[in-house]
Amino acid sequence: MSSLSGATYYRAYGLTIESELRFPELAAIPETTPDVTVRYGTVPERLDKPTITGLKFQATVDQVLIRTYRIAKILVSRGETALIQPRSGSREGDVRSLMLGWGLGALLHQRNILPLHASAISLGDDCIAFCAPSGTGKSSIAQIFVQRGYPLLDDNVVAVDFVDGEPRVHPGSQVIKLPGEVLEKAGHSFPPPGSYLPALGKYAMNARQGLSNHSQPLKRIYVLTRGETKADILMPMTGARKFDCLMKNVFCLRFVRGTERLSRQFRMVESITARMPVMEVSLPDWPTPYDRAADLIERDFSQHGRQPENQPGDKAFQ
Amino acid sequence: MSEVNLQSRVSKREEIVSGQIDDEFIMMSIETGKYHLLNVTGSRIWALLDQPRTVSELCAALTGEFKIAPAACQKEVIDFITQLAARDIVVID
Repeated sequence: MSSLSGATYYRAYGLTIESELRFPELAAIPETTPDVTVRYGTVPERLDKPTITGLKFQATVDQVLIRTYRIAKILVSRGETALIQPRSGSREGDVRSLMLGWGLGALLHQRNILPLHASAISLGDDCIAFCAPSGTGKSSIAQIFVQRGYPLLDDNVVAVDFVDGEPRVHPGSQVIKLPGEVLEKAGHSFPPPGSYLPALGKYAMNARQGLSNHSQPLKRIYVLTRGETKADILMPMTGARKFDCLMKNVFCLRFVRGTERLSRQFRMVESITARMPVMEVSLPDWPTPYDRAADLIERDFSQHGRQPENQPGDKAFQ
Repeated sequence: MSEVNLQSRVSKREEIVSGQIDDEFIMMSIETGKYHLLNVTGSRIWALLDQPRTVSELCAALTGEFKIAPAACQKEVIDFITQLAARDIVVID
């Protein structure tokens, strides 16, 4: 059945992945027919007639070529294959991060799944997502929810698929990446040195969850912003601002500009904004009150009667 | 770009998608990824352009639906279409 020797199989983002590259961040499964194959190989320097070219990528409707100078080249094709050529001297952890970042973004776009740059938390049968630019505190808030007993669906790329018109999130990576100062402040013991990701300046914490492989309906989105007041604010977004915030949090949107896929992403964002509240959570600049932001959000969705599945603080991280 | 007048025939560019978010209307260029917000009148003009129309035809429809004098309507529609054309959202014949 396997076309790759020594391959490992994973189930994540609604996909069965056969991979020569090890992904300890993902849930391993027995050998099976894959949706996606990830393998090492020779990747070209450029695409023939790209639709769009950026500093570190080229794209057509069916292919994305990612080229970083120090980590790897990755070619993602038709939502089915990812070919990886690591640069000489690159760290395996950085290659994995690139594949589970931009590589995954390209893959999900090619499979018409909406990738949000967000964290997602499970609330019983449903889930919520927090969107925010890097450095705003998304992961820090996610780790608070994990400590409070809420299972993590993903902390970087939330894969939103539409099933019978309903947006659903597939479980992805169970790793939260946090800077050292956040770990220290939260009282975590530091993970092994091998968990440090130099390219990101963060530690990868495995959030042990026991989460099922099934997708969950997405019920609410929270957008984290830096406010100019010292008050904590949670309020619904409306209209064009709601749309703008979500579009800005579509991961790797630049890969699909100029192609019909951008039209599909527009419709998916439009559908999401029509189906669920999008709430702005405004945090003061300093000190960043992650606990208070988590309290605000938890109070807001607890009105729907959801309770955490795990016991708070019960060895949430390993 | 030639000046927009009452006889100008206006049609949507195919690569523009649009949708309604709450009470507001958004249109986006697939080519550039840029999106624009329309007010109520603008969104009605956009709906009327589901088929190509002259500016004169647009004004006739709008004066029938909104309480606006013909001269004022013509000025607003010409201004609006001129802006859309400048942003490559519509084609003018």
